[in-house]
Amino acid sequence: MKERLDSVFLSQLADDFLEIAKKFNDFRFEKISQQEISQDTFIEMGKNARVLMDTAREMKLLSTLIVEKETAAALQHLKALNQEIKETITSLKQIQVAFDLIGGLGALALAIVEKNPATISDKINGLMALLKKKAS
Amino acid sequence: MQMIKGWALCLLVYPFLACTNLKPVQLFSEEALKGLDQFHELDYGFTTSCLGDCTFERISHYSIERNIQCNCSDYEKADSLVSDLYQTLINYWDGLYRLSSSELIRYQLDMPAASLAGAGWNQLDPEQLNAYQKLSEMGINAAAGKYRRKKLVRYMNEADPHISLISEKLTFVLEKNLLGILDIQEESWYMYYKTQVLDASLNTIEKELAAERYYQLKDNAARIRKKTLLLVRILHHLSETHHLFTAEDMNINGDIFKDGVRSLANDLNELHYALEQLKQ
Repeated sequence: MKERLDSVFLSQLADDFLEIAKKFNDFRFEKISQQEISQDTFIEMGKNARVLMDTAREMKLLSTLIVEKETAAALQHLKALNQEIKETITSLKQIQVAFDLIGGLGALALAIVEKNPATISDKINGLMALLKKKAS
Repeated sequence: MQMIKGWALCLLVYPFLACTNLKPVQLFSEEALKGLDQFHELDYGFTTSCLGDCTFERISHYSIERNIQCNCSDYEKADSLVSDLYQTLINYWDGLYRLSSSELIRYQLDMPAASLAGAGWNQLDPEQLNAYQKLSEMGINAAAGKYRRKKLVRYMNEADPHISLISEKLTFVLEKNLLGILDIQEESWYMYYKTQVLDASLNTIEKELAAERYYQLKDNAARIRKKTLLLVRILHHLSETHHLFTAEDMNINGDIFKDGVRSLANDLNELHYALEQLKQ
């Protein structure tokens, strides 16, 4: 008997249980057809086969739900890496934001040098709109 | 003099541009995403099997209830796990796709150049300024491309062992456990309908209907099995190709990579075709 019940072992055990249940079913169908067993025995044997199949089902489910340490760690690592990729994409996109802001600030500086209040207000509005757009 | 400077800049920028083609990685991740998308075609899961069994049990006992109660919470957990494994793979390939996409970033210096031109602080005429702007954009985009390539190679190398383990678990769960549960379900149908056919109290038409129903269910199960196995093959293929690329000290612009992606695309196309056939 295996010391540790891992997912692969459980799944194989479930397959074995199902095979036994199938053989059991073949046997009882053959015997009832030849009228070698009573209807009650046939039903009773069917219940036993059912128990084997239900157990196999539970084992398959348990085998799925067992996540070995290595797999759990791999899942966590890949999720972290996915997050890092996402952040890299965001940083790369933000470089364009920086260029646009530099441009916007340059235009504002020019308006200040020219002491043109209407243009200053326009440029500030433009800058605010840019910030709002990029932030969204 | 200005012209010479321009050419020098061009020569400086060109080698960057020559080696920043990320198209092969983009194609690779695009194929992977297309392949994994087939997962949505799989109209069978742990919860579906539980509900199917629960309903079948009521039918076989001629039980009609106003509100059928089926306890499938553990089966839902199994589906959540499958979905988590699958979604993590999807997110990875999607990240690679977006990072390698040429549409992601194409830096433009229109605004700084416009404000520079407006200020009149430079000695360049508008045409020269435009030329420098374009060259600078090329340089920045090339440098960004090289940076992205470096990042992509690192991410792929780091992700590879995790991709293998996650794909292994996912294929195991689908092939051995989900299809295993389908096998058990099929045996339940066999037990029930075979008993019906042997029942002396039923007439031949009723027996014929029972046999017909059984073969319909078998037929549907065969379709589910084929679909699942095709999906398993897609997952295997993606994981193996990913591993091959990273194990070969990957040059994403090299022939091995390009040929590998082409071969993967061909193989996946065959599997997609087989899945399409099953839909009909």
